Amino acid sequence: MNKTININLAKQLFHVDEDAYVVLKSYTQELRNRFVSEQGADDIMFDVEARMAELFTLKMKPTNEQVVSLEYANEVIMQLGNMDEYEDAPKEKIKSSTTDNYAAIDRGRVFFRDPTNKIAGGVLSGAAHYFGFKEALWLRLGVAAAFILAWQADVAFLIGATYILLWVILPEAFTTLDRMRMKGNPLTVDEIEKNFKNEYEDLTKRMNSTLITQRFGGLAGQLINGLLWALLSIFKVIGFILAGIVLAVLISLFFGLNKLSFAGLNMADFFDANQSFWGYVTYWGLLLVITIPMLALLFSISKTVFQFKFENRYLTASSVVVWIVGVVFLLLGGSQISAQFDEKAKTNSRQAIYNANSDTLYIGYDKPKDENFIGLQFGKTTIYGSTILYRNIDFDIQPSPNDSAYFLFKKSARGKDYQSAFNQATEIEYSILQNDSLFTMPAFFTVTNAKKYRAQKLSVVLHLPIGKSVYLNNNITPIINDINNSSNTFDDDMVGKYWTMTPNGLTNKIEESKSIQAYKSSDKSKKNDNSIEINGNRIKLSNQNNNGKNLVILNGDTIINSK
Amino acid sequence: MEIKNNELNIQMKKGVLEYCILAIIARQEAYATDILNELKEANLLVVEGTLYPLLTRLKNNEWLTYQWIESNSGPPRKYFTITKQGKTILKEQKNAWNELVNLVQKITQS
Repeated sequence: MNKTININLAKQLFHVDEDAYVVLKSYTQELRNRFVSEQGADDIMFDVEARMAELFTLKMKPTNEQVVSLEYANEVIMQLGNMDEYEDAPKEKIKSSTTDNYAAIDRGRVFFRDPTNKIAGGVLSGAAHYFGFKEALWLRLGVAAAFILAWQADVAFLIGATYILLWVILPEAFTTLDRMRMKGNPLTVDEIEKNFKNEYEDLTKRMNSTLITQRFGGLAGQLINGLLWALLSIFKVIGFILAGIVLAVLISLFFGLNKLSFAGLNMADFFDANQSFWGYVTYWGLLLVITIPMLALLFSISKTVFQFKFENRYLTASSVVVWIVGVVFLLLGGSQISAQFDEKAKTNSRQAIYNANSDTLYIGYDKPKDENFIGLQFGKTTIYGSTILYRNIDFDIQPSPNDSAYFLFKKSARGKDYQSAFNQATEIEYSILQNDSLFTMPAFFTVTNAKKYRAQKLSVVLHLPIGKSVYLNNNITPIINDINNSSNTFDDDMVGKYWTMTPNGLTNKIEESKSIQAYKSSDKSKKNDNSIEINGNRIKLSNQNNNGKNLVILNGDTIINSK
Repeated sequence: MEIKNNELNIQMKKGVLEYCILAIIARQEAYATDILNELKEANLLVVEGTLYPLLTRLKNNEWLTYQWIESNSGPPRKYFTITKQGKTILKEQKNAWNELVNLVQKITQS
């Protein structure tokens, strides 16, 4: 049992099989596209359809058939001639007319799963049809190779998940019609050229359309039409310029790969000076993954602006493939690079403090200047060209195990194994500038011998013997990190004050005297009038009221009054 | 070589197609399928589709005109007749063709 569709050819009714309908529909569509720029296109179409009707009637009469079959449809199309044979140019005439049932189907190929040729879900054979491969085998081999590669990089699950997702979301080509839409036409250069030509003619016609003139008529219409034309031309020019710029950028990217920098950063060097192969792979992956959707966006915007239709399967298919390659590159390279961050290592070094004349050490921080932030920011790392500025520094104060004061530099870095992480850590260079008892911490540390970012980090710990004092300059706030002190003062409140190392930890000289005073005064006042003082507010607890009530009085005002 | 020959053949036939169509219609009014049959008999036409754009073009040039005539076996048909202008053109083309035939004969027979 077949589904039939009613069609109307030059005002005559025909029942056609579904598959025959698809073939006829796309054939007439092709014809229309071919003649669209010609005067009298509708006449031509009508005549051709009338001839089709005549031929169908002739064919079906002897057998008294009711329905136009695919066989008849193809015969009639053969008799009327393929697209190529309509053309005046002689070069295409010779092509042997194909007997391919689906020769006329060209547009609107749909991504289906192919149930007639499947290993698991038929996703890949569907994709092969969609992208115009003759055999699904190559695609399968390609995916298998990608899977093995991805397995090496521990990202094989992504390919598996993608497959299952496609299996779930893609419909199966269930009916004949589905399968025809799935298969479409084999992709040839001729097809692409023809497609493009048709689209172009369509566009030209649209541009020339006098719709506006018809609607408004007369001079006003012409004026509006002219303006529209001018506007469109301007858009067109802008579009071309934009496309030119994008193209130029892309070309320079492709050719200048070695010198290429991303915001002044040489990616390959940055991630990996020694094994730059994976750096390049990652870089290319990133480039493809970012630029292809951007180009597609640009393209679809210009499509909207210029109101033209352009569907080129070949272009879409190759962009998708290239984008997927980009993703695979990014995953592979990314996993290799992240392997460079597998292990963490720490090492320490010291900077002794000599000849400080005062008992108090003044600690300041050399804040980074605005120009130090030019470039790419990776957390607390600024990268500009081959220069990397590490700001990943924090500062702490701890009691000294002996009676000398010194700075301890705790350096850490990452690497693919402990040894290389350790090597990276030892290459961190930092020294604090001493001017008598004034110490200035530079804003950055440097890493000798390496341009590689390996999550380097530096903790500066000032070890202070008991009895010694320190003054924390206000500008140290950005790097101060949870310094223990006897009064549990927050970091931000510790700056701009003097602190002395006592057996109880760091103690603020003034706070110390204050708290002693407060203790003494509260002790004294308690005996006198049952009141305590907190931050200068006197709170009085009283049960000697005339009504026999209990009172809490704050600064002379009663705030609680109860029995 | 065979292919090239074939190509030349088709091209030459194409060149005279317009002239032949005008000649057929000048003889008596005809509808598309009549013209098709005659051209096919003379082996001048490869595929039928070629005819329709040509007819429309000739009509747009006002060398032809048509009228709808009822048919016994189906829907009304477009019957083409030649116009005055078409007749002039046909005469010119006839002269040009005869001249061409003469020229070619002179060359090939000498």
